[in-house]
Amino acid sequence: MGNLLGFEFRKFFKQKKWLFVTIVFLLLIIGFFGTEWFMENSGRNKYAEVTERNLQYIQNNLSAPIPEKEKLFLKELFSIQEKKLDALKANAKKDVLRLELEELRLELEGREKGTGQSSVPYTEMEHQLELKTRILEGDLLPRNLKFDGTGFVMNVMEALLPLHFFLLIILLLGDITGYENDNGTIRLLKNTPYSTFKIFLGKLIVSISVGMLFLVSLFLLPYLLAGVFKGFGGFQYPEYVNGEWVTTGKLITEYFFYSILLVIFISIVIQFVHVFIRKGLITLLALFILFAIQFFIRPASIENTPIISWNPIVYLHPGLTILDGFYYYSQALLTLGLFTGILFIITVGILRFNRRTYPGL
Amino acid sequence: MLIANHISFQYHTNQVLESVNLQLIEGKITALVGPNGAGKTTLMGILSGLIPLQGNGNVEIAGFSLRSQRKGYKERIAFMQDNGVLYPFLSGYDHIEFIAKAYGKGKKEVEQTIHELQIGEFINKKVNKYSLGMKQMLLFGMAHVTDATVYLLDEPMNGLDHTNRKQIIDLIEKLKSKGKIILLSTHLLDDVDKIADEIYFVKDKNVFLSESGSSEFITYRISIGGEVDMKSFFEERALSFVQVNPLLYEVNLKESEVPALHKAFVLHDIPLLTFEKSIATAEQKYSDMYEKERR
Repeated sequence: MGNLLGFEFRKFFKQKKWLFVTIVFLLLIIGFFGTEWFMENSGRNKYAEVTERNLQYIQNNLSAPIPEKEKLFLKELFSIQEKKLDALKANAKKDVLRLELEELRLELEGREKGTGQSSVPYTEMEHQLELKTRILEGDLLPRNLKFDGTGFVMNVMEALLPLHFFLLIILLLGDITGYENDNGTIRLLKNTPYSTFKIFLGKLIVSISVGMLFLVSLFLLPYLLAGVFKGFGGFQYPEYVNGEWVTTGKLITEYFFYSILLVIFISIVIQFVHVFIRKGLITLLALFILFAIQFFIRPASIENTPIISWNPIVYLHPGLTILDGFYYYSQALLTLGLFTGILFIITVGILRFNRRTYPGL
Repeated sequence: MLIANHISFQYHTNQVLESVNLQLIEGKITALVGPNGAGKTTLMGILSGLIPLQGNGNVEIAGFSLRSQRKGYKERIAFMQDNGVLYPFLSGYDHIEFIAKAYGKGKKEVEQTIHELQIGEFINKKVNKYSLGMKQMLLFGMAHVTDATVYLLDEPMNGLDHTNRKQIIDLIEKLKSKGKIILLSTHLLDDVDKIADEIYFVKDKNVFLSESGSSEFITYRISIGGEVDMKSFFEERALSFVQVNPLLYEVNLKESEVPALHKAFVLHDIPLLTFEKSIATAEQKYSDMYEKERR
């Protein structure tokens, strides 16, 4: 088996397709952060425009005959918004955040006094107050690195994990079996004393290992970025996920655990599909199978999430310890195990008896 | 010994082989000859275990059945396939090393094979840099390194130059002298004459062993130095013969009858010029088997 695994790894790395896919993947990551940067700039400009309109609106209101206490509230609001506009123009992110907090506090006080202007629900305003306070105190990683919300890890993973699955696993790992069937080289393996079971197991192990390797590199990215921006101090920054608070470290770990299950599952589905389908249709069919199978690995507690989603974050159950996470996913694991077992047996059978790969047939 | 019984193969509605029986013996080189599409490679694929057996057919090597003792069977057989099985992005060494390990052989055997085949010059290059001849040498090396009991060689001399061809023939004969069982398919009928001990012709979904290898009668070509009534001479002795010309006859004899016939020539004062076996070449046999029928 060692010889078989060594040969499979050698084939995979010497084929160099992984290099091409990795470069494409890196370009996509650069593209992702480039877009984030662009969005941040255009978002800031729009924010400034909105603030200017707000100032105009407040000024109009101030010239109208309104009660004195409301006038007082609007004057304070005008002063904050004016400072915020200056801060936005100067791209002083922390000042903007501080002024947003002041605005929130003023609005909450105003509500108590009956002078508040915003239509945002009270609970949401309190939540925003907590988030922005924690970001300002350095207790929270902001989303998009621009201090206007939480969910840094979520944001990075939401964008990159689906890319990992579809780009790396489907395009790259599918070739481990797909190439052999397309080119007839599978005959070399089948001509040895190794059983078809071992041959396919070898391919699956390599596929899963490579998938994991890329997954680890992918998960290192938010760790590293979080570390660079906030210091490598334990990753205890909380994130607000699916209505609950969870620390960055635990979120990444649970995300990783969940992704491992998906890597195993997708690997076997893709190897299975590539055994009997020629290039072209492969990815399409794989996607359809994944659509169908996702339903079975959806945790019961999130019944209301959409069934079809490429983003595994919707299935994530935060706020658990890793051990709890394992127990929580054990049901999915069993279903997954059953499916992968059946697919494994069918795939070995097809590999063993598929006559289309023989010369002259 | 390799014994194949009732080997049949049908692909969709096309019956490629039907109840083929054959036996291959240690220390013998057997050629498998037939036109394109006759089923040579399919038969080799089945014997190698690569193509699944159909019906009640079975193959055994030294008692190891392909059906029930697959691993033991496959450890005893090496199949040299076409060059489509090679990975272009791997080196020749990667290929030979993998096959050697699969058959429980080590680095020593790999180096020995490389040395014997004299392929050291290009073995570390990637296969996509190989010529057709280099690929053939590599494929032969991959079979050679296994030290199996049975060697199935599919067109081993295809695309080889004279030197490499001679080298491969020498190595096949070396395997024969070690008592290995060798079945080779080829289009090069000259090579068959040079090295094959027996020939299986693939025809009508079956295989036929060449007569020269199995019949107890051998055709002798006898030429005489003057006009003699040879017709009555042969008829008196109940020998079947063909008069090629007034001075040349082809006579079917058992090998044991040859000394007595020699004596009879002396007793009757018949001037005997030549008395030799008439060996039909593989090409003649091929022509008898396929081309005459086509005409």
